[in-house]
Amino acid sequence: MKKNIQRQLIMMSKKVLYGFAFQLIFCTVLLANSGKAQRKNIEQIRVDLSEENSSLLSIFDKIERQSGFEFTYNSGKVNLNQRVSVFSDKQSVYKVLQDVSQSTGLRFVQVNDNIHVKERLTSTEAGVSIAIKERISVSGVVNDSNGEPLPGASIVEKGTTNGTVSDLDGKYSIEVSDNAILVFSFIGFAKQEIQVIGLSNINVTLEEDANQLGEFVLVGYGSQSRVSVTNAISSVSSEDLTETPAIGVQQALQGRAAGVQVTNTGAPGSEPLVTIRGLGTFGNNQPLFVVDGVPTSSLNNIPTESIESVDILKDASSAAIYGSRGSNGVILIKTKGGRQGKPVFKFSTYAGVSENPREMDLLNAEQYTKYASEAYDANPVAPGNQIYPGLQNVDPSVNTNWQDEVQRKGVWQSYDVEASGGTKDVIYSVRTGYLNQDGTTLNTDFERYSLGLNTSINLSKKITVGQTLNLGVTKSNNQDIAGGGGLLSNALTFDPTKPVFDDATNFFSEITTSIDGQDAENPVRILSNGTAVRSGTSLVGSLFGTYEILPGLKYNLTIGLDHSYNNTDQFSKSIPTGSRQRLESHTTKDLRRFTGTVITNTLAYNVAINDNHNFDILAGYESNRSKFEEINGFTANSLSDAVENFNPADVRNLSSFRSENNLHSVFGRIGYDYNKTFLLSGTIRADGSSRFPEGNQWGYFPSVSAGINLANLSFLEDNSTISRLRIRGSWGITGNNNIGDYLFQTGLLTNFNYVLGGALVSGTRPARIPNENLRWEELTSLNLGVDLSLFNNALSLSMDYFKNQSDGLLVSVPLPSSLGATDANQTRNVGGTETNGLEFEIGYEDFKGDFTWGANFNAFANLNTQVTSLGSVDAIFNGNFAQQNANRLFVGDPLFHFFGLQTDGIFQNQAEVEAHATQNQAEPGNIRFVDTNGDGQVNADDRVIIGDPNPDISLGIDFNFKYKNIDFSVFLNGVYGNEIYNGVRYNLEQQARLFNRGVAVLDRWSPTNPSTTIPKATPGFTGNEVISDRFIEDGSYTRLRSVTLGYTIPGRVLESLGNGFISRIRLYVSGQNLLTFTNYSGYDPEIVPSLSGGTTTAIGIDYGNYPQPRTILAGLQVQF
Amino acid sequence: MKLKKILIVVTLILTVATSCNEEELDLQDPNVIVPNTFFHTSGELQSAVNGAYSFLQTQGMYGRIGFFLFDNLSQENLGTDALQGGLKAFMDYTYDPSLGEFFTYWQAAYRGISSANFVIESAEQGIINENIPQDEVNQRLGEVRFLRAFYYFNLTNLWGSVPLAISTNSATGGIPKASQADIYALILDDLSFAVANLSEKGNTPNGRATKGAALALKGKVHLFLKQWAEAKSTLQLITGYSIVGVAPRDNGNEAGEFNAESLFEVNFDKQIGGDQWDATGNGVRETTFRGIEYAPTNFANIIVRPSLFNQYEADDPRIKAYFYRNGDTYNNGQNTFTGLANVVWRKYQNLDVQPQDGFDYSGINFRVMRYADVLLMLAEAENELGNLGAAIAFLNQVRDRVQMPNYGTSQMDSRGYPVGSKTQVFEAIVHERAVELAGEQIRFFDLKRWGLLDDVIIGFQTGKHEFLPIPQAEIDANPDLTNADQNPGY
Repeated sequence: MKKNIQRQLIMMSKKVLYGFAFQLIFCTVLLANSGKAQRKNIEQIRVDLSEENSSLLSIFDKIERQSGFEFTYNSGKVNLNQRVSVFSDKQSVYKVLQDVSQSTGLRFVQVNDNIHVKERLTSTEAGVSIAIKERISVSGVVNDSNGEPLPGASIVEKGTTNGTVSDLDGKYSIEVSDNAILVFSFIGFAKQEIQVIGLSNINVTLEEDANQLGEFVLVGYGSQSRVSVTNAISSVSSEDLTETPAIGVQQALQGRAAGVQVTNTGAPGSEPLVTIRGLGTFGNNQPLFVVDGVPTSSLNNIPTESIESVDILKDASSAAIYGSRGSNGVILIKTKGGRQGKPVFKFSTYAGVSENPREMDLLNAEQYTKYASEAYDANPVAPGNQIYPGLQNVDPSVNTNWQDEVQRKGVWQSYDVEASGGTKDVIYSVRTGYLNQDGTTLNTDFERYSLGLNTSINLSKKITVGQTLNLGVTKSNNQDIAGGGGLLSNALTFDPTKPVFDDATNFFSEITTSIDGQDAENPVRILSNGTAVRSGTSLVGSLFGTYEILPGLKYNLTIGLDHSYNNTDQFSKSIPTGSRQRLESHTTKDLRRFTGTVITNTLAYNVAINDNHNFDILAGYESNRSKFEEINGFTANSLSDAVENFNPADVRNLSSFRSENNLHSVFGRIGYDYNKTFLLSGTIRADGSSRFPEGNQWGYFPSVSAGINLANLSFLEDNSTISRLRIRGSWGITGNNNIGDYLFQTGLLTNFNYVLGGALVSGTRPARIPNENLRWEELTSLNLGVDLSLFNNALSLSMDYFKNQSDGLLVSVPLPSSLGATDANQTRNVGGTETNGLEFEIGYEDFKGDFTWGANFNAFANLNTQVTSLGSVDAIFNGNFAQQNANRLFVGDPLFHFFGLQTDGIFQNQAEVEAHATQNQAEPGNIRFVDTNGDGQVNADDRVIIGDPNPDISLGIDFNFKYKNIDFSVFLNGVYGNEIYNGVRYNLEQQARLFNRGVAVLDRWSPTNPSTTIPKATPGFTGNEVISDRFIEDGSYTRLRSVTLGYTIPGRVLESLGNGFISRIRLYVSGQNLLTFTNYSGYDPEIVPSLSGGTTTAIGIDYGNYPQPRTILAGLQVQF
Repeated sequence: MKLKKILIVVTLILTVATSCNEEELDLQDPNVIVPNTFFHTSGELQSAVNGAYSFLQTQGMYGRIGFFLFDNLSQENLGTDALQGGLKAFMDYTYDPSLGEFFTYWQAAYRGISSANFVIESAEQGIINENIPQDEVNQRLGEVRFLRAFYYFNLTNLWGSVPLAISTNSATGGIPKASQADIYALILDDLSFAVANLSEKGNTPNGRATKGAALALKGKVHLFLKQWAEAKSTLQLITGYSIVGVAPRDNGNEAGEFNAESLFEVNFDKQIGGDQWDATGNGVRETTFRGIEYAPTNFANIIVRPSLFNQYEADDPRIKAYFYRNGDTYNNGQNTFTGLANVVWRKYQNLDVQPQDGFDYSGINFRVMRYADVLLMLAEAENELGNLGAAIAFLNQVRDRVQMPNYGTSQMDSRGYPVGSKTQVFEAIVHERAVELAGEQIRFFDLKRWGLLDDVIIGFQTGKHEFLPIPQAEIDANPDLTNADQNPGY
């Protein structure tokens, strides 16, 4: 029943929508009809007049009323009060006016329905004439201020839909009525209006308009002039995206827009994580990425060179048009579409070398032997003389630095070719690229082939069709192995007294009486003993058609496809000897296929009433369908290392998985502005998702926003300093449905196998405890902003304040394990968060003279991020580190704060131990923890907040300088005020086991060395390793992200070189990540949050992230 | 009119273009079986029951943590320098609530319980198809109730008062702790049902719970509750088992699985294999780490603690059956141990038939309950009831199998095991259980039942180590538990 009402409602709302669209069409039809009256002639229309000494004005008035003609005159030049006598008995207007002309000396010219009244200049001039020349032909050339022709400029007869565009040479020709006003416009240039009267040739020079340049932003299902935007939208240009070599758009966005935080590892080809305006949820914080209208996640398969613009919808008001997927923000990406004009070929390439900029100081073989021996025997009889049994027979000449063994210099190279151009009816862009990056860790690399093709065809004046396509083929090696903490922690902790190789051919394999045989492994063997290749193919594209039903009313249909196919092939050879001995080779294969389709129908209507009231109306219907399939298998082959494929007889495990979800949506937007000065807009979207149970499937997401362009108001209009001043505010609700499919359903899994009667039998049990009340997560957001441009737009500032409140967060919550559920977590709508912050964007551009420079600064201040509710749960523990939880969520506290014990130095003697609260394994040399609750016992109840992984401030600064042909740019970014749980230092200093350590342990506590920071060494766990402030560090950093020096070969040189065939050559050298200023002692303070199944599981914990490389490269850009 | 027509046409066009279909929002998970279509056949019922067995194989239990937990807590094992972390903490009694290994065991046990609850609950709700014969349903219910009792018996002995889950779900989202009395009541109820409904050994595939297994476990529970008469009467009902003719070595190798002595085993199979470290119960994982973890080579985590080895009488053939020392041969007699610094385990190792226990993992079944244990439990019950003669007779059945001198003989008296009093018989039982059942995850509970933990265990703190700390992750996630529910001392 409830469902029926829901359906009724939604079907009704659809009808209302269609009805509304029809209303628009109908209204426009009426308006258009009114203009179709038959034209008359003053000779044909007759009037009755009997005027004795009447004023000219009253005579005109009477003629107007009887004939329908309208007199036009300049009242300053025509004396309307002069007295005239006219008598007419059904005489023509022509005749009447001839009489008037004789007595007044005035001249009358009929132009269409108007009668112009002018003074007669000569006595011979005709008193009355008819100038009904319905259409005249006007032609000319449109140039820019440099005298270059502007193809594609629009020429429109004002007040009509009659118009054309300039051709390749800037030429145009148009038929207009002779009193028409022609409007010349081109994006980025100031509009010009020219009155035709009598002219048949009009040449126009359009001036660039800094106010308008690049100032169209994508707003979701359309674009909008920057001037009328009232929402928080950041835009990043293609120049900024390609300034620093980046694999994909996410990496390129780092530091480019206020409030957009990007974290990345240095693993080649890794997908960075983007969060907008801090953490809004403790579930999935990933924004929605939309490429040419198609939602996708295959972003690393699209080169940044293919991207024309990126617009980031940050507040709920702008993102509400994406409804249930908008609460983490929306990133709209437009790929290059080409431009009308002669074909342009561009070629760009770079090559360089990368290396890991930091190395940890580890114990050498001698120091390690001494350390391990002392640790092994906690109270050495004769310190320094005993050798730990596992180290007694080592080759003294071996001293391996495992960090050096697994690291190398990686080579980078990239090539991109683009051809674009177009005619009046067809524009196109074709792009192809190749990229190869070697990681700084052995045998890790990333390779990509890419192809892009966009076309747009005007089938008629009213119909445009086109397509977009981005194809990427990628391959990466060992990312899974090297990307996690495993490899680096092995390199840090593996025994330095062991060689890389046993002999010339075999990797050293941990010997039988190994030290620490359990965990640390020869990292070179791990990397070299097999392959782990991940290859992917992705296709993101769309077909679209636009039909201009009536002037200003456009119907658009877009059919989009997001398809990707990824497979992972892992193979590791057998290990013939050693404690890691394994007599079989292992092959694991995983194939994943994703297909997302989207069908979008929109009806957009743009209308200006009385030139001042501008309406921008959109209504749409959309359906998204996603399908995911996975097959994976494992086989062990005891016969041979030679074959990496599955052998049917050997297949040990084979499973498949399928998942599907659909989303149906109806949405609408109304934008209104008065004279581009008073701005108002509202949107609404209704989304129905299959991810939720019946009754909870539909969500409604409204928003409103408003703004005033103060600079347009009279008191500022003539102000020469302020060129723009706008204040704006918005409010809206968005949602999040980013969870797994079917989570509200129960079901049985049949793969709980057992052996009974000598045969494998299947076991069945519930797959999960379903949450039957699952519903949307909602975010309510308020945004207040101000935009200011000064000095003819040379300096621009933008500031936004926002407050986001989320509710019903979708979170995967650990279930009590005593419930025994298969899925240890359950996705629930738990609690809420509140985030507020400030964003600043400041730009300066000095573009006059030989020396020009510009700077862009953006900053995001996170004023507060806190949990406001956790529903029925007291606290959620997260951030698993060494089988303990380091992150916690708790009402009133920052999201994912670090939670643990406080340390208070080290017990120096037994008296201190006895004086202290009861503590597990309290003894001299161990860490003393604070009994924060004073109950005389140190335990889990004494845990307190020990750090906050959320940065207070993050910023990006970009400087660029140009002197004649030389350009130079510097780009920095930084984050401040966050803490990191330093897992690298945990490896170096925890001392709980006999692995290799960092040099800090040389100063460890002993009865003779009363250290207060480094506890004594022991072979087992002592409690020193529990989560505490011991490994919490300040994570602030400032990074010199890129420095680039370029030289553009002067035009005259090119002229002489290739006869003008080559239009541009630029050479540059660039350095990436040259310097990082930080107090953080691990490899890299940029810590990527951990996600599991789309849910955030850990923030700010350094599990041994693959560090960002330092790269030096040289590049070339050529244009034909 | 015209407007209406246009409206209809365009609505039609738009509807086609969008193909709005409300049904598309109602999707069913294709990866799972819809519950209400299940329990229609015997095979489906059987499969649900199998699920409750499968957790015995997980890493938390006999796959890895389970054997370390019991053998290290009882200090039958001694760690080498390779034994570190949580596994070492069991042995040193230095663990705390954050120890991940406890959580892994706890989680596996409760998953097994949940699987049992799934079947029991479905039967209560009448979901099981009536075409399946009632006695077959009861036999299956008997199996899962036996397993639920087994999991709870271990949980309550390790942790004391624990959450008592009798359903697969909970209205509050949490489960409060129940008293040990309540837990034992459930265990006994389950076992009574199991005894009444399970088949005898031989009438059901090897590996399934039998009436004998249920009786043995029930008898053991009565012993723990000091209900001596009930223990005796229950254990006396076990028939059809024998230790005669079963070589001691056959209680710890692959060849002797399901021999005449065997009451209940946790099954592994090397041929079916699988070696995933992250196994959580689902998927194929039919081997145990027991081989490589205790092997004298490879991981070499464990050696036999001298205090255990020293309890053996020098002529006890069980020494050779259970342990390797220098001079012993292995790998089908092709190799001989020479460089061993310590006594190492032979029981549950594969070295008899292969050169080393490596990463190919072990398929040897764990003999969770066997008839020698039953005989010794009978001896204990009889002794506590004052029937010393009967007790000694049961003890001597076990001695006879290995042709060792009988208790009550002068030879045994001279070896320090006189049996003239109840206390002396008890000492004999303690000795005989230690040497007969060594390394079988039994001794820790024995010591606990006898109240001997603080005498025997090095590092044992009275008032604290009687129970393990409840895993912190459970307290954190369970809305019905707080840190105040933690066991004393943690």
